[in-house]
Amino acid sequence: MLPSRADELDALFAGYALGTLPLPLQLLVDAHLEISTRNRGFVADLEAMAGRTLESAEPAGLSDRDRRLAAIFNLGEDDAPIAPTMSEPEVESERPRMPAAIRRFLGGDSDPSRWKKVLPGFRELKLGEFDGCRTSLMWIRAGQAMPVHTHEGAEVTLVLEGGFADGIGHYEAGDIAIADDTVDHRPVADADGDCICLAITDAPLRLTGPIGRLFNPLIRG
Amino acid sequence: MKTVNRVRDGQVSPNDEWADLVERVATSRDRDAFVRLFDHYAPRISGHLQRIGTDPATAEELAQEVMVVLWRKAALFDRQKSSVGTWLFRIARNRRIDLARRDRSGAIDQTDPSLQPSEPEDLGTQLDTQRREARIRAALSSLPAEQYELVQLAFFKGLSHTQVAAATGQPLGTVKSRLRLAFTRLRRILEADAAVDVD
Ligand SMILES: [Zn+2]
Ligand SMILES: [Zn+2]
Repeated sequence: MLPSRADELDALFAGYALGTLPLPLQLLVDAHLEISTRNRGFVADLEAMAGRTLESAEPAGLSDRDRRLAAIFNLGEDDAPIAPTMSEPEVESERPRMPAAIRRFLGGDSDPSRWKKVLPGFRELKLGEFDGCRTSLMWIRAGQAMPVHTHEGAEVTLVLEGGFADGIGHYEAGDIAIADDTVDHRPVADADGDCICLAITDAPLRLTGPIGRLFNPLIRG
Repeated sequence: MKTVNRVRDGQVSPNDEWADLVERVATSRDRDAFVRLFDHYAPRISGHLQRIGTDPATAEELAQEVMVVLWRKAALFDRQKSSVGTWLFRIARNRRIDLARRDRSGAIDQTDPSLQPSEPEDLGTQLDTQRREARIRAALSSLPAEQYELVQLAFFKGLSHTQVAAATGQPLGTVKSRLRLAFTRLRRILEADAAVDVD
């Protein structure tokens, strides 16, 4: 299950550090940490805690121990240690780059033709369903309002570019918004630039406005 | 195996022998050192992954991949930045995400940069390992007993919220909200402490 309330962010980071979140959420937090420095210190603390759990963990039996070791030693000696890649060289571009965590996950899927128009000024690139969560990239044109909707489950959104406000909060690049089935909201992209988000839901959105009902099948598609 | 450095909760000082062993792998491809690391960590990584719901075969494969990274990239380990356990834990976590990606594309990306442990860059993450461990120990011990117990069960023992509820006899909703409070409290204690450190 996805976290269902805004004040669950700290618990979200604990789940991330431990590696217990649904995979798309692990990805979302990875991307968040890339964009935003705000929670890196706390996450590093939680990761140190998680490392301790490994020391105290009950070891599982390991099959084929000797064969596994031999396989590693047979890898060869030619693999010189590779220096850590720090942040990649900044590429001058008009837009902030997609976080590396998402680019890696996308692989070749970032083909622009796979972006589907859902509504005027609103496009979606579906990344698929993992661990029971639907994952999409959303593009909302500057100033554009999304249809009013509620959630049967939870929706976790990371702003990658631009920003949006939904009457509950205002979210800028790097911010994480969490909405659940008690939230009936209408996100509106900031007027000063298009908004691109990574959105993860654990149940289909249900549009609640009069227009929303019409477009509902498109969203669910 | 000497136990001098070992303290409770399986916590080990950053000058511990595991870090020494990784450095021996890095500098001289020391196979004996690697075998000791393998026998200690591979079953624990597999055990952890299974506790969080990974099937046994996948858990073993991921543990093996982590060990491959350890063998090939031991030079990337920095004992000032993390313990061996934390370093390997993060690699295991990243490999699990890569696995999902691979399942979609059907291919392994040999140039995958996530083989690199991510590099903390900002001030907040640059505490040295020993200092961080001490802060965490202090913060955990200043949690109220009830919250400490929940963190023990949910984080250190890796129980699901449902299992924590069963273990403590508390309703699921209570467990969730109390855990949320516990982590927020832990964060406040840690960040107050970090602020003092910086001054
Ligand atoms: Zn929503
Ligand atoms: Zn804004």
